[in-house]
Amino acid sequence: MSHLTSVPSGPEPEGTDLATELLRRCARDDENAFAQLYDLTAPRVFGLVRRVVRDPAQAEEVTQEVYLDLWRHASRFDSRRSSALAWVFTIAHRRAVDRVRAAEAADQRDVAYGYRQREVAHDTTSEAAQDRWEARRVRAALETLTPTQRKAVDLAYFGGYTHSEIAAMLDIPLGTAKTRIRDGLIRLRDALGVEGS
Amino acid sequence: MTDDIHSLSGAYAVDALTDDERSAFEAHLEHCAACREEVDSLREAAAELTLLAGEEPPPALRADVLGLVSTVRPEPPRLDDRRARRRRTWIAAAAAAVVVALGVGVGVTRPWEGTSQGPEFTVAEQIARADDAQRISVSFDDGAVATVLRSQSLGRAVIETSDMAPPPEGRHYVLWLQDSDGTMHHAGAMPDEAGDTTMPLKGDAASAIGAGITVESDPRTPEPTSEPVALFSFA
Repeated sequence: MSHLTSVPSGPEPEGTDLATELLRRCARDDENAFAQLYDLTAPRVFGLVRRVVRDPAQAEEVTQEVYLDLWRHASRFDSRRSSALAWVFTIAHRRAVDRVRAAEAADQRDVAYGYRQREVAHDTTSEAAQDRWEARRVRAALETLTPTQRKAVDLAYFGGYTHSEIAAMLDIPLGTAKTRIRDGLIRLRDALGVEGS
Repeated sequence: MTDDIHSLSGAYAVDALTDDERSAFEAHLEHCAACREEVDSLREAAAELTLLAGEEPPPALRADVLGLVSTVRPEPPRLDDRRARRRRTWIAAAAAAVVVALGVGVGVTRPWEGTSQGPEFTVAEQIARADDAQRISVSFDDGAVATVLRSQSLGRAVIETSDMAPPPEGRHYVLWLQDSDGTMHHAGAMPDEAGDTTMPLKGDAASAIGAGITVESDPRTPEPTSEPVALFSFA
């Protein structure tokens, strides 16, 4: 069983450049670089996957899939389109979402029931993580979203739900959830000052 | 329709689309640079959210992952990607040449008026989804863009125009497919007032080495009578 603990030192200010370099070396079959990439990103990858899939054992499986994928396909990383870290977390998110969707298809789980279960887990975020400066910066950026945008982004990113499912959960018109997700992400992007490549 | 699909960018960036929606949006991304840019930037933003979810993985996982990886080799870069990059460079040079040709060629002022995308859009989508899809764009001085999407395996090509000015009075844009010995085959005439248009090219797009647009007084002319205003190389 895993449990929530403090987040070890995340990427340093030069973390993005370091991750880019490590990915390039991975593409050249450098296992040492891969180990460094793991140490640099694993807490955020595992934490993200665990938030989405919930079950710790499954989260470990998915995390393994993610790193295998990163290793195999490191040569596909295109620094003109994204930062190395965003590429890593995009792959991790997609894998995690694929896992919960497959599970949903398998057991036809009731969406509303799953939602209540997940809500509880959302509140158990590590205190230590919240104390970190970078996390505070993200929280501050999230404050620029309206509460309804924040909810929609949270359900999409950490809940792994589709915009149609989110519309049903929040009892809002079908087209509204996708608009809230997009508008919310745009505000988040602008508040964080991140740019596409 | 266009506004509608554009608004899926956020949901796409955070994997909140169904499989069908995702496929449709990816087909759209093939020819919408604005959406590609937006998706990339929103993914950068979403990635920052992982700072709120940090959690130390079980120590044994590290050994498992590193052990797993030692038994697998990384894939080499896909050769298609490298070819595509070279092709884009080459096409950029071709487009620049075309812009010069346009300056002394037809005067272009009015955009075409729009009509429905109809069933042709489906062809464009099919081509965009094909493994061997090629997408070749030519930009004009006035901001107009013409893009040819072609799949050799499907033997189909479509042209998409954006803000394309109308041909001079009494003349028509005619599409051509060029085969390997240089012969130009009539591939259809574009509607004079069709606006931002998507239309399939007639003929065999599998063996063609390129496509072109000429300005003709007879829309059914069996061969081009003027220099092309745009060229799209499939090489």
